Amino acid sequence: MISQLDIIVCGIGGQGIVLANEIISTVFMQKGYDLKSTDIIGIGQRGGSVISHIRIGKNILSPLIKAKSADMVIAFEKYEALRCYDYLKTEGLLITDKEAIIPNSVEMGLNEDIEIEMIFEALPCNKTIVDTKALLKLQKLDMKFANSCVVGALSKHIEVEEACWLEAIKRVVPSQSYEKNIMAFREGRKATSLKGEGFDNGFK
Amino acid sequence: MKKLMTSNEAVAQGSIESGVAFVSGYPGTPCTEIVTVLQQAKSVKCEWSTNEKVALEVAIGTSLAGYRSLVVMKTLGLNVAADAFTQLAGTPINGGIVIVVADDIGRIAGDDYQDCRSYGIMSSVPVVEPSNSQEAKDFVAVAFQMSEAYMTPVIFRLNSILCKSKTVVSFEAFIAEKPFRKLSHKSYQKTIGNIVKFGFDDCALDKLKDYWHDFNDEWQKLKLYADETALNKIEKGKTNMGIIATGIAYYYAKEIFPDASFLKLGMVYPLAEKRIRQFIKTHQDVYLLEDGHPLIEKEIKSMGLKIIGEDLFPRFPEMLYFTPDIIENKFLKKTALVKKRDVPIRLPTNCKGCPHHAVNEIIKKHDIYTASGIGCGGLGALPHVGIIDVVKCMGSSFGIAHGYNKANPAHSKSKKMLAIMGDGEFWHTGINNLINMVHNESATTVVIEDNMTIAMTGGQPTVAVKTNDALSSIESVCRGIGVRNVRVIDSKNIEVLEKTILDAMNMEILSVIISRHPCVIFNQNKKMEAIK
Repeated sequence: MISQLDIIVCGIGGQGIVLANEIISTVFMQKGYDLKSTDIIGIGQRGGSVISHIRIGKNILSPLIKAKSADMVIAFEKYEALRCYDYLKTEGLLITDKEAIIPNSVEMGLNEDIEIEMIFEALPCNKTIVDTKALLKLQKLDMKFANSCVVGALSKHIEVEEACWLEAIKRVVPSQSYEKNIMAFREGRKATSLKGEGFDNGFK
Repeated sequence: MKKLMTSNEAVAQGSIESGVAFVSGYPGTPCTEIVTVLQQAKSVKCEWSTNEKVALEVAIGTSLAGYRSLVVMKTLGLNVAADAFTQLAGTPINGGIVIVVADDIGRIAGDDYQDCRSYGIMSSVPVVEPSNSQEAKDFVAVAFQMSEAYMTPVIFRLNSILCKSKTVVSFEAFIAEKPFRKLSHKSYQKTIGNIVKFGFDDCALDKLKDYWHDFNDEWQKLKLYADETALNKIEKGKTNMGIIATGIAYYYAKEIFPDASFLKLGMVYPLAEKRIRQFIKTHQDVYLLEDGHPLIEKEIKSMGLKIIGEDLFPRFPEMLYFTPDIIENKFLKKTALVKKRDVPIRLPTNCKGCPHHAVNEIIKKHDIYTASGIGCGGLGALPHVGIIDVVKCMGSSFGIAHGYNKANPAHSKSKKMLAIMGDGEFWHTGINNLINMVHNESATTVVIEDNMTIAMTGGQPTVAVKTNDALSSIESVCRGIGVRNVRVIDSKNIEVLEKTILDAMNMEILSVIISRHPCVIFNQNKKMEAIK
């Protein structure tokens, strides 16, 4: 049994990364763990990359996660998943939204695009891919609930009871959107198979 | 009680517990949140001032009235406030003044290499630096006590990671009574004090004592205090390795070298000289980890002591900051730093529908030589947009274009320079430049991109929006200071806007074109309707 869990949450400014971080942090706070979580936003609120480091355990010192040492990388989009891939340890788990959103530097001719699907396919790690677009459509929810949907997928890989996640969502999201966030969370959780292939974070 | 808090929230909590009565500041990433949180507290009077210099001057006033005052700004804000700051330093105060300054170490939120400790060193002002949220809360209380005991403002240094890093904080729900003190000061002016001192042989004369504040005496006492304060602490390790660390770098190092001895400095200026000497003497190799420029290193070396800092950690290209990876890599030379993968970058852009976006399109279409400032108005200068030629600090573009055009008279072959500026910038410092343009008969066209809020930092109101008074609108102010050609155009009418800008640029007069449309993110509908 490992006593520490390091999670990177990443995506694009506006995708609700900070909120997802808050939900995850609240779950582990309720469980009595020591915790440090850091949002590295930059000027991300205008469409830049955003990364959150979440460290959970008994006595956390550094708030930042080192290269090749994260147990999980949670991404809301594939380019950002790739950008943060090197934080992941060899036996770690990558959970990502199926969507790939082309960076604006490509659209504006500053960078050349990459073969994202091919590169992604070749990444030698455990992966859970969440098709939030399809899942949200089932419930007639719009894409702004994708973050809760991905968190739902993550919850399947962590041995904390569902009620605890629901309580955290209740505390963190605005009350008027609570129901919809719960629906999105449940879709993500339902669609995810128990444990990623060969993945065991040992966090109980 | 226990709660997960960012250091921003913790500073706010610590301020409330310390009985802070007044808070002033100017929004700036990453520490805007401190004021936002304090705005919710009933016991505190808050104001977003029009710029950082004003914010500090307001705090000088509230301090003189006897109240504890907190001032909040980002690192570059202290440059704006520098005149007020250097005048304040060395003069007696009443209520404590703590100036929270967030350095953008690692250039995460901006693009500078500034280190606010330099201001502390320059002006003999103490600097306090926490390492996590708990300390951010606890140290604020100490900073206020220090400020009042030694009659000096205190710089409270945060950085981009610390501000946004949440850690568990224990706190009392109890809220302190507001400390209030009123000492008698006749002169608050350092310069007068100095002149008196230099002009008279005996400053102890009864008639002179109110004019002379012995700030050097206070500073000497502060140096002794630095050696005693619990803000600094020694942790004995199992090995002979010693690390002197400040701020968040302490935790990075502690994780990598759990068995080393630490001298953790919470008071980073003036330095605890005796403890530092003792620590270095009793350890084999002593390393120094300080975010920012090697300032403590220079101080320690000037004491004639040996310490390893910049030699192991060059300040470039790591942009003056530490991460656990950087420390491990330099010490053990084994970690693979997070590789730079070939993933195309994402840069922030102006939103479609915003006046900034509309004006950028016009500039691009006609290849206009353009100066801009900072904030949303500066995004067009980033290489993926690349349509703005010159970007400097807040409110600077009017002056730059005025100077450029003045040096290149109308008959010369050089292109005329256009100046663009957001409404936030205009009210911050840009207005001074416009007054100068009237004063010096400028023949430049300026565009104020008015999205009716300070958008980049989260939609704080400007004076025009807050007062909701036509007399305080940008156009009224421009006309009031003597600009004859003022036009207001909804930036949705892009053709009219385009023609107006081009026509104005062909004239040899000062023109102000206000391109107005509500911010598409922070829409403050009602007030905007009223202003129209």
